[in-house]
Amino acid sequence: MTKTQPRTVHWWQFMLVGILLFMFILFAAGLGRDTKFIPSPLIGKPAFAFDIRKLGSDERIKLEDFKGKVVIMNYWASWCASCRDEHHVLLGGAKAYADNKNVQFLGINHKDTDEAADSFLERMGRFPYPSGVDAQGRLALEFGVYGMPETFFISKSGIVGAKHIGPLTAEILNAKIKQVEAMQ
Amino acid sequence: MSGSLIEIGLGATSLALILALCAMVCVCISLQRTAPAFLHTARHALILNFVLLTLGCFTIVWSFVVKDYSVLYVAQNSNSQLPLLYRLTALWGAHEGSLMLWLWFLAAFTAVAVLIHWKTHPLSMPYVMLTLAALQIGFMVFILFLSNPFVEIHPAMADGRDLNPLLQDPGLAFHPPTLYMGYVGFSIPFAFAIAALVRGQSGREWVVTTRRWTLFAWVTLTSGILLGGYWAYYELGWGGYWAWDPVENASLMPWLTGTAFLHSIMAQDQRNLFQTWNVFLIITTFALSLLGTFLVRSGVLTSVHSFAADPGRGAYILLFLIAVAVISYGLLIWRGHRLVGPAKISHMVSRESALLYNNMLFVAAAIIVLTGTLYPLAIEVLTGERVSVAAPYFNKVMAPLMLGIVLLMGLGPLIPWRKSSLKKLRDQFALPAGLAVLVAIVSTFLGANDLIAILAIGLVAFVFLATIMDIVRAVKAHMKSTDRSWSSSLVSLASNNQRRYGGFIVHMGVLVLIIGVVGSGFFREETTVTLKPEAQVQAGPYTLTFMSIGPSRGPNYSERLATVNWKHENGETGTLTPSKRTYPVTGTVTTEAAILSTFLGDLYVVLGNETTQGSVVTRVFWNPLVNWIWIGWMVVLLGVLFAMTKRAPKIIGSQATPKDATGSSEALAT
Amino acid sequence: MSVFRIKMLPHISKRTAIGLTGLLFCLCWLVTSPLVSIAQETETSTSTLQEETALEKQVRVVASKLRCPVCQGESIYDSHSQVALEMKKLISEQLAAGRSELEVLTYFQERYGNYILMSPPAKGIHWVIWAFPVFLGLIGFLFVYQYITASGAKRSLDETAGSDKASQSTGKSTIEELHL
Repeated sequence: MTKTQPRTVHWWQFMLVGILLFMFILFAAGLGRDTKFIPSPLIGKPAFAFDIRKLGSDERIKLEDFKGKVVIMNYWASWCASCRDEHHVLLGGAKAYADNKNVQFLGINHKDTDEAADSFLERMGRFPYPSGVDAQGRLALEFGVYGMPETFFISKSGIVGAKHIGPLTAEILNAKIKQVEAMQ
Repeated sequence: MSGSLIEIGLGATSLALILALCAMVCVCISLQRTAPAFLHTARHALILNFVLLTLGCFTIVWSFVVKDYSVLYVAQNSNSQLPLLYRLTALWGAHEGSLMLWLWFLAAFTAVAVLIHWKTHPLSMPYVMLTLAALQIGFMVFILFLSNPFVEIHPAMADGRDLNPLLQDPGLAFHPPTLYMGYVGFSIPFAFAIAALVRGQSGREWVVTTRRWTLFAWVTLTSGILLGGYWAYYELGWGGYWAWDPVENASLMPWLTGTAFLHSIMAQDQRNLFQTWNVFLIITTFALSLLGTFLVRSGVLTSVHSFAADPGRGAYILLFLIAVAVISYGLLIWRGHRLVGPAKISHMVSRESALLYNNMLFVAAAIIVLTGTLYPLAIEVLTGERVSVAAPYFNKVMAPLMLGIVLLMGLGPLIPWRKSSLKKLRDQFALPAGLAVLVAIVSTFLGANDLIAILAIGLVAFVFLATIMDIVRAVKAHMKSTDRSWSSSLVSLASNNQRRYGGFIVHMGVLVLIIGVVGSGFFREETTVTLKPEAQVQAGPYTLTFMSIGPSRGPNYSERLATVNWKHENGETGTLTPSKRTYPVTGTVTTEAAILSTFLGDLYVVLGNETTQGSVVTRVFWNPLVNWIWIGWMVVLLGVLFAMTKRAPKIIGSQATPKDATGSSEALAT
Repeated sequence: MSVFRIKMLPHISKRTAIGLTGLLFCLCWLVTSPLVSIAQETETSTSTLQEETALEKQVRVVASKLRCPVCQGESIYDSHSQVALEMKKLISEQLAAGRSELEVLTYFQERYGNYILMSPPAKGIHWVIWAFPVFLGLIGFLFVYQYITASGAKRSLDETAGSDKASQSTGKSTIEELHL
């Protein structure tokens, strides 16, 4: 829709070029990103003070039991394939921090049965730390969990310091623990 | 034995790449030295490419049929238990094969275009061939180097993983090929648009050819979209047919701009207006088709339809998309002005200006769908926040635009070219508008309580009445002047104006479709209840009684099949059997809705979870008039067929002169 | 009314007008009859029927505004996944406990972020996406209007002016126009 003046540049030409450039930059920027990552609004806020049953027993686990410690709260389930991938990372991590009294690992068994969870641990290796039971998945809703596995890093004062969506690696685990340990 | 067969397919496809390169080189030489022999060589190469790629596709399909699990693609997407129908159609069940189908359509359309337009478009032909060969190369490089369906594995797998159970449905046979055919169909008008820009001319012959191809692509895309909607409706089990998913949006965008083109090309045909704009619309339509492919395959957006995300592939498609956009929009900016004729819009109230408003609405709709689809990506890149833009947003913003389009559907075709006046408009439209208001008022008494629904009902009535009255008026005038009966007058009018009457039929089809959308969208009844045996539930005019649930078996799945009896208020009775299937190979569970389809609406039953006491969470929908969507689609098909039966006019001379062009665009032709 | 009609539309006879009105009401009946039957049936439904309660309706409204976290682009309401079921249960409990729809939506938003909402709230930067369609419509309309006037088009209110074929009566001009 231009007038018949050759060799004049029209405003729509600038607009077209601008829109195309913007879109292509957007796509290029979008290609490399991690589509799984969803920022959590809970970071920087007090963690939900849960009180849940311990896996394989009738004891209770409460968040306040771990006051003064950095809590690494890992959601897992026997039916979740990616949980198998991160299992050795968790076992290794728990071993590495076994002597550190300021760091507490905690598993949350999500939408599972005690039997299935037990046979999963029997096969993959038992965690040297306790797991709580979230059979209904209600606790997961409190923490805004999108899928399995997810790991929350709660500071000594009970503030959610960091979160990781998807299987952990040793590097991510160490980096996030350091980050949250430094928090007040 | 068949291991060597797939190698033949790979060989054929590789040869096709070489031939497409040859074709490009030959076209360039023929343009440089004006040597027609080279052009003939290129033509043969492009026709042969179709044969080679047919062979390539055939080897994959055959490997599926004979269950050759030494072919990776076959092993990943089929299983020895998979029924033959799905083994035949599994070619387009995943990423690699569906691109192969894309390429095959491209080769097929190229061959057809080169064959039928060789004589009629000798001056455009080199550029058309160059464009199409370049597109083929772009796709073949991708297929051969980044997403190869011919890859073999040694040793062969004992049995294949399965085809995605959601795809194990007869819908797979129709929806993807039709949709791809629509997408790829726009490549021919695109090639002609490039030729027009290079030559600085888009004459009468160009209009006829691009319009036909676009109409073909448009009707296949429409069918593809609606088939997809129908498939989603009965397969996905949420009672709807359109979810504003990014991939659905990606198919809607080229549809919107393609529809805009089909309308505005009329202005170029009749009045020599909008030449640059029309070329812009074709380029944009094809670019949006490619964008759809990019969005589905790159993992840039997450969607139900997404194939496994692969940034490497995404980067290639993005580069390809950039190349296409830079070359085509670059040509448009550089040479677009050469296409412009001296004609102007002479009056405010005229068909021309109605078409402009129509185009404005369609393009605005496309832009809104595009921004809504890309907004989450933009926000994430710019601020790091993640948001969703889904059905509630699109429904809200698209509804007013669609109402505007429906209004113009009634006005536009009845306003004459060049000039009308407000007074004439009043004379013409007062009665249908008055009656339409009446219908809208009556509808509120019958239960319509949403403003959009009431407006939609009124507008549909308006367009229907205005169009019918116009036809009646025309028939009466024809009867008077020829002394024939009204039926023979109508037949003679319609057969002498196939485009116009074909268009009317398409518009009527769209009205029927809109009635279906309004009925099922605004008057849907749904309940979710936990049903014990003997429990009853009400949906629309039906009373349902839950009878029992038990196990059952299919060829490659096991299922929980429920029996639900229904009773219509008029006394009719029957049984529905919704089920939940488990496919053991992949461990996937699908819900199979049971649908009682009637002219006035659908009764739709889906099973949810079973509780331990033998009761089942059941969702029951009453979707009024939902079938009108598919009926409307058939009317649209009919209209397009009717319009297409019009034979392309034979124009003396190789390149036609536009009807009232002054020759300025001719002088610039190369 | 009828005088008005005949004057306005010289080509349409009274009979045709009556016929059209009849056709129209048939259409109207056809479209609305499934709705009427709903209205009647709801009144006569008996107490043995399982019916959706007001609470369940409210749950539906809230659940269709929330995105299912494990699905792609589906609302909780439409999803059959386990998480979605649990979320629907929670929504139902909270609504039953007297929370408003907005409070329930905020509950999820505070835990999951804006991503859990099916469409972004029209707050902060996100008003852009809501204002854009309005803005685009206005700009588009003004642009087209300006384009038409700039290309020299006149408001042809005067019916006798002009010598081209459009000056024939509108009825005839639509008939005689041959499209190719």
